[in-house]
Amino acid sequence: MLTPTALPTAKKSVVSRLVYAIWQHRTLYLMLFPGLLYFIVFRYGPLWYTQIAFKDFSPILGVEGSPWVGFKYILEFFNSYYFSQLMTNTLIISLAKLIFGLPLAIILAIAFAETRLRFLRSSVQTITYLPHFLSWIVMAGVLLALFSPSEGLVNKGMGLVGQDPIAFLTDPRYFVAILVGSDVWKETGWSAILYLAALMSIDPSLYEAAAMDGATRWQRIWHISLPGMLNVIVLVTLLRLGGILDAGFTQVFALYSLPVYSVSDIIDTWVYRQGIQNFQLSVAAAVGLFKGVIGLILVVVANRIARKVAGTGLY
Amino acid sequence: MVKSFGSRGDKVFDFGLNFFLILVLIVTIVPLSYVVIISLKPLVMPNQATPLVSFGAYIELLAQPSFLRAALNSFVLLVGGVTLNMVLTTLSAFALSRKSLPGRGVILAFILFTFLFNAGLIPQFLLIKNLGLLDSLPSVVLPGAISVYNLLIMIAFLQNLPESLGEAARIDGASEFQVLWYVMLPLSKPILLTVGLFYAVNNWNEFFLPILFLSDKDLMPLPVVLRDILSSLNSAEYVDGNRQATIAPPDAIKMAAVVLTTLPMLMVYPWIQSHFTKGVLLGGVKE
Amino acid sequence: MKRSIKKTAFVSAITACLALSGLALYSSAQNAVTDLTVWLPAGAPEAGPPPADWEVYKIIREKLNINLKLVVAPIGAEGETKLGALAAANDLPDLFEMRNRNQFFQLAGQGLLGNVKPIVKFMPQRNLERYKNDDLNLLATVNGTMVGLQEAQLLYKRTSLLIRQDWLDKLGLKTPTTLAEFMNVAKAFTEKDPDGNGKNDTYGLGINSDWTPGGFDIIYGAYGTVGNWNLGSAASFKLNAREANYRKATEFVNTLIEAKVVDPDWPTLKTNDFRNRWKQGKYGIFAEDFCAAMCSFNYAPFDASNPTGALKTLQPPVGPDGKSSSGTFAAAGTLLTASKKAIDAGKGQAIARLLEWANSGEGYYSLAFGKRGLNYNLDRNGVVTAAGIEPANLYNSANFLKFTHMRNLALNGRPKELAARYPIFKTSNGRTITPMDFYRASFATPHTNIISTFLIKPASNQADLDRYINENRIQFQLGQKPINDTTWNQFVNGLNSLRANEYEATAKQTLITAGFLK
Repeated sequence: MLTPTALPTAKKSVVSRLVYAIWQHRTLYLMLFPGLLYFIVFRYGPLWYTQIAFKDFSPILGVEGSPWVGFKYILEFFNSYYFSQLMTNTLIISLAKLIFGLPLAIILAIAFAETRLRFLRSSVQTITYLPHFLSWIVMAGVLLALFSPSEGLVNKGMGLVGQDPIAFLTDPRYFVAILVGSDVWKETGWSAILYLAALMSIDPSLYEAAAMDGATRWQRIWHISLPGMLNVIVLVTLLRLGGILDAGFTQVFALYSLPVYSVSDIIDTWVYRQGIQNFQLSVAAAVGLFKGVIGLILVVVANRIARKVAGTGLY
Repeated sequence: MVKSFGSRGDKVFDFGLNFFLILVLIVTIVPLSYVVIISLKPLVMPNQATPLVSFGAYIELLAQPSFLRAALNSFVLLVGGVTLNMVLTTLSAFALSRKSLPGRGVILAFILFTFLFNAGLIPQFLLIKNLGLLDSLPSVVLPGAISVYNLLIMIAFLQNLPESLGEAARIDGASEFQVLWYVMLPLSKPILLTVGLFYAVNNWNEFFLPILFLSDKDLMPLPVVLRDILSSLNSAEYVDGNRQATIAPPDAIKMAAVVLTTLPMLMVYPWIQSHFTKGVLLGGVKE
Repeated sequence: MKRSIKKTAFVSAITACLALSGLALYSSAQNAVTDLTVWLPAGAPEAGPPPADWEVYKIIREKLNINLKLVVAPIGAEGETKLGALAAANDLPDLFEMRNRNQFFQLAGQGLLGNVKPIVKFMPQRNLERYKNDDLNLLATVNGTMVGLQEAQLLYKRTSLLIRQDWLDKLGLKTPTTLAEFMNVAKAFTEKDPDGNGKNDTYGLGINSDWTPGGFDIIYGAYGTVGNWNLGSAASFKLNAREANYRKATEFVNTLIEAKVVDPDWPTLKTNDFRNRWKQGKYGIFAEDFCAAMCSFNYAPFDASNPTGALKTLQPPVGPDGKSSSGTFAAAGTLLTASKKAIDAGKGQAIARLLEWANSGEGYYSLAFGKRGLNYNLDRNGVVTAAGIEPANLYNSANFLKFTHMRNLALNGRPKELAARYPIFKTSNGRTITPMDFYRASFATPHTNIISTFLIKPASNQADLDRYINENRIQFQLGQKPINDTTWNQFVNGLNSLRANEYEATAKQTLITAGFLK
C-alpha cells in the first residue's frame, strides 16, 4: 500500500487535498493554538464590548441589553466643533513623526553597522537607547529646562548672541516642531535596534562578494544593506500607517497647553477630555472604531502598493 | 572580510560617518545629562555649607518601605511576562512563517485586525472581570501576552531565513519542534534578543494595567509606586502639618526615580549588544 | 372583580413586605456579620494598605458586626477611571467616596447609586453634626433622590495671595491694594532685584495654570467676573465670558504679561514646577493653598533657600468698581455614596453603623490618630499631642501613613483636631509660624462662592465649550490675538455656535429650581 504522500493525484477532490494539507501541518497548528486562543479571548473578547459605540450604554442593563442608538455617538464626534482641526493636527503630527523618524532610525542603524570605531559604536548605541525610558512627564520637565523662555538653555544660548527669547513651548509656530523633534530624539535610537537586527541577519558573504567585485561602501549599502532591511522597513511603515490616527497621546497630553491647542489638539486628547473625563464611554468607543476603520483602509491600500513596488507586504 | 583601507572615498566616508555618530551622541547626551545632574542636586540647608553633589535623592527613594517590594513585584512581572511573551510569540511566529500553512493568510488578517482595532480600557476591564482574573497577577501580563507588532517582525525575520535549512532537517526526520529549537532559534538570535528586549521594556514600564486590575497596593510594580512617592512630595491635599522633611529637593527625587527605573534596563543592554555581531548566520549556512 | 384582585394583590404584597422586613430585623437581631466593601482614595498616595491584622478591622468586626474590606483607591484621574470601570461592570463597592461631580451625576443618572436618605436616621449623632445642611443635601440629590452624603468642607477658602514681605521692606514699598499699585509692586519685584543676588531672576507674579485654567483669578475677581458664571441674580445669570468686565480683566492680564512681570512659563507650568519656583524664591506674589505654603513640610524648602524670606497673606487687589476676590470656593467636602446594589441588599444599616462609629469616640480617634499611648496622647485639654510618643510611631510619621486611608470618614475640622494636624513650628532662624493663622487670614479675604454651580450638569459638548473659552482667553491674554471690538465680539458671538445659549438656559433652570438663583 502506498502512503498518500506518494499519491498526489489530481483525482482527489479539493476538500480532501485541503484536509490532507492541514493534517500534514498538524504540529504547526498545535504550535499556533495557544497564540490563536490568546487573540480570540484577549483581543476579540474586549472588542465584543465595543458595541457600546452604537448603544446608550447602561451598566444595569449590561452591554448586551442596552438599547441601540446607531451612529449617534460617532456623528457627535464628526459634528463636533473642532473635528476638522483635530483630524488635520493628528495627521500632520503623525505623518511628520513617520517621515522624519523612520529614515533617521535606518541611517543610524546603518551607521552603527558601518563604523569601524567599535568604542564609538557601542557608546552611541547605548546612549541613544536611553531616552526611550524617559516618560513623557519627565520629558516635559526636560523640555521646559531646555526651551523655557525664562531659564531654558536654548534661550540662554540665543541670548548670548543677542536674540530675544522665543516661547517654543507656547508658540503655535514652533510647537509642532517641538513635538516631532522630541519624539525623534527620544525614539530614534530605540527604533534603530530593530533595523540593526535586520542588518545583522544579512549573510556576510554577500558583502564579501561585493567587496571582491570592487563595490564602494555606498554601493554595498545601497545594493545589499537596504534590500536586506526592506521587508522590515515595509512592515514597520505599514504598521505605522495602520496607526496613523494615533499621533501619540501621552506625549501631546504631557506637553501641550492652551496657547498651542490650535496646532496640537489631536483626536486622542479630545477623546480624553470629552469621553474619559466626562465619562462618555460610548463616544470613546465610537472614535476608537473610527480610527480602526481608517487604519484598516490605509493598511489594505498601502499593502497593495508595497507588494507592487517593493515586492513585500504584510500578508 | 576584505577591507579596502586607504582609498580616498573610503576615508571621506568614514569621516562623515563618525562625524554623524558624534553629532548624534552630543545631541542625545546633553538633555540626558540634565536628568542625572538634577538627580544629584543637593538640598540647600540654611546656615550650612551646601555640598556640590548629593545622593540624598537616591537614598530617600531607596529608604522608602515600599521601594524594595515594588522592585520585587516588577521583577516578578518582568520574568513571568517575558517568558509568556516569548513562548507564545515564537511558537506562533514559527508556524505563521511557513508559507505553505493552509489558512495562513486568513489567520494573519485575523491577527492584524486586532492591531488596528483597539478596544480600550473599559472593555478590557469588563473582560478581565468576567474571566474572574481581577486582583490576580496574570491579569496584568495576559492582556499583552502577544504584541502584533513583535509577532509580525519575528515572522518577517523567520521568513528571511533560507527555507532549505528547515527542509534539510525535516528530511532527516526532525520534528517541527526540533526544527524550531535546533535550527531556527540559533539562527535568529538578533531578532529574539530584540523582541525579548521590546517585551521586557514593555513589561517593566507597565503602568496602567496594574492600577486598573489590581486593588492591593502591595502588588503594585515600581513605576506606580515611584509615581505615588513623587506625587506626595509637593502637595497640600493629602498631607498633614508636620510630615518629615525629605533629604533632597523634590525635582532631584523625581529625576533619581527616572535613573533608578532605567538602571536595570541599562544593565542588560551591553549584554544584548554583545550578541549583535555579524556572522551569526554564517555558521548555520555553512553547516 | 378586577378591583378585588388588585386589592388582594396589594394586601399580599404588603404582607410579603412585612414578612421580609421582619425577617431582616430578625437576622439583624441575630447579629449576622455584614460584608462591606469600602472604597476610599488613599490617605497618602505613597502609603501602602493597612496590614490584615490592623486592630481597627478587629474592632469593626467585633463591635459593629461588619466584615470590612477596605480598598485603597488611587487618587485622581486613575482612581476615577477605575471607579468608572467598576460602574460599567455594575460592580461598584458598597460605600465609596467620590471626588468628581461629573462622575457622580453620571452614576446617579444610570441608577447605580442607592438612596441614602433612609439610612441617616441610623447614625443620629453624625446626622446631627454633618447632614443637616439643606444646601449640601441638595448637592447630593439627583432627580429628587438623595444619592449621596455630602459633608461640608472642613477648611474652605484655603487659598489666597501671598506676598514676600521681606521684598516689600527691602525695596521700601507699601502693601499694594489697588490694581495699579499691584502692577507697580509686581514691576519692582521683577526689575529691582528684590533678593539682592545681582541677577535678573525674579518675577513679580507667579501663576499656577494647572489649578484653575488660566490662573489670574484675582484679576478677574477685581472686575467681578471670577469663575465661569455670573451668579448675581436670575436676570444677570450667564457665562462670565459674555460680561464686558471679563474683557477688561483680560485686558489687564494682557498688560501684566506685556510688562513681563509674570513668569513667562506660566501656561506650561505644572503645579509641582510652580511650587518649586516660589520655594526657590522666584516669585514675589502668588496664590497658594495655606498648607501647601505654610505647613512645616512644605515650608522647609522655601526656608532653606530663603532663610530671611517672609510670606504674608495679601488682600486681593481692588478693581475699579471696588470689587475683589481671592478666587472661588465651594464649602463642599467629602461626598460619600453607596451603590444601589448595597442598599438593595440591605447593607444600609451596616454602612450607617460604620459611619456613626467613625464620627466620635473610639472610632474617631482610631481612624484619625491611631492608638492612644502608641501613636498619640491627649493633653489636659483633650488635645492630641506627641508628648511621650516614640517619633517612629507618631500619628503623623511616615510609618503611620498606611493607617490614614480611612481618616476622611472621621475628621471633623474642630479646633482641637486642627491644632493636632497643623502644628506650630519654628523656622531655621527662629521665627514661629502658625499655619492656622495663615488659614484664618486666607479665610478673611473675600472669596467668591460657587457652590451652587456644582449642581450644573456638563453640556453634551462640554469639552469643546471649555476649550473654546479657555483657549480664546489665553490667546487674548498672551497677545496672540489682539483685543479689540471686532475680535472680542467674534469671540463672544462664537459661543452660540457651540450652543452655549442652550447650556446657559439649562443651567439657569437648574439653579432656579433648586432655589439658588432668584
